[in-house]
Amino acid sequence: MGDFEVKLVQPGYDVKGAPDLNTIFTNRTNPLKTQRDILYGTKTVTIGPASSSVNTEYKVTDHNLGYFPVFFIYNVSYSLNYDYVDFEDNHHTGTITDTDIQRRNGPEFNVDKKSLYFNFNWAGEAGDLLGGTFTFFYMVFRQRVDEKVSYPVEAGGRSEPIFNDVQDFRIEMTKKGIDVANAEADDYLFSSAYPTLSVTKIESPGNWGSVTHGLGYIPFVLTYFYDPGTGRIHSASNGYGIGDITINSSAVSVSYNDMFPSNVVWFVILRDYI
Amino acid sequence: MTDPNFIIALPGYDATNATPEQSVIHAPETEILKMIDSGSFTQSILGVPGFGYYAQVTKSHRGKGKNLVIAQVDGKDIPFSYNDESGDAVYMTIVDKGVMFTFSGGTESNRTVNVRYRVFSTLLV
Repeated sequence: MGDFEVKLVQPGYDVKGAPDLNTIFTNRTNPLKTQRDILYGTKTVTIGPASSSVNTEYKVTDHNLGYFPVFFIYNVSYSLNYDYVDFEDNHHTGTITDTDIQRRNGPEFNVDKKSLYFNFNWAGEAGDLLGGTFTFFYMVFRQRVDEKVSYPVEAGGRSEPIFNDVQDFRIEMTKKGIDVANAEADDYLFSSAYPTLSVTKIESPGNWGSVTHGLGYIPFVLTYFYDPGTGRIHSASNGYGIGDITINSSAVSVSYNDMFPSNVVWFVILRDYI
Repeated sequence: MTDPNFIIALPGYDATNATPEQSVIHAPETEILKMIDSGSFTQSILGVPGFGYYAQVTKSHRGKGKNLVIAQVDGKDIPFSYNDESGDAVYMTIVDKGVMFTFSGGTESNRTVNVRYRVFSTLLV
């Protein structure tokens, strides 16, 4: 069984030893998979007034997967209404808006086995905030965060991906209702023309410590942590919820963080590099 | 017409009943990300006494609009702030057919960082 392999690589590469980034898929790795309209899309979350919004939790979406999944989240826009009187008795009202689309990876975004949540923490005085909206783009994957998995490291090491829409030969499948002859990149469920993101290893060092990956290059790593206090998996960023992250060509490490000693770190190590 | 099914299961699983979690490809139920562009560059964060450091770098890409982008600085997920006394941080903003990186630091900042980004066909808006 272990000798059998299905492998699709980009044009110009030999399937025997093609570098990681030029391998579209192989049954020795696990691409991140998602589902349009079910596991990704945009969602506007309505925030209540400050008296009920300080550290208040809002649901972004239900994923209903029954486990803690890998997820991405982006802030698309927000609009918050304020009304307060300053120390000199001046009355201020207005709306704070922002339309910058930015990736978010802080602990305020978290999942349980059913839903993806946003915890809003209004930094102003209670009563100042009249409410507002946040619009997020979310993407949830059919991949557990908190289950140790490891796939064998392919020969070939790192390479630059190639991007060429016009190729003589391709293997691809389009989304329902889309003619493969007229499809563009986002119309495909998969295509040999485009590299993807695959998991090479998911492992926890515990509260702190190291996980070896054996890739020989510095990989992309998504970091999450389990907080026993909330019972959820949170998106982690450096020093927020976990300690400092260090990634080198052989291991991923996180330092001890005495502010969050109970949080359990999980590294999702991807077969891609920096 | 029945929807087509194309499943390649991970080793140890039967493709006839493998879930997406147990599969390399599980179509048409799920899709994989399509990477359509990538790039990398280095940026120095050098603080100026009294002013600190602030810079923005915008990179265009082959996407059709505001595409999904992931990026890392020195191997760490962006947005990223160095948890040291420099206050150095890197943020990423998705713009139309491009991505903008914002670098900030304190007056004592003195480091050079490596940024790499991957662009996918998925549109965020």
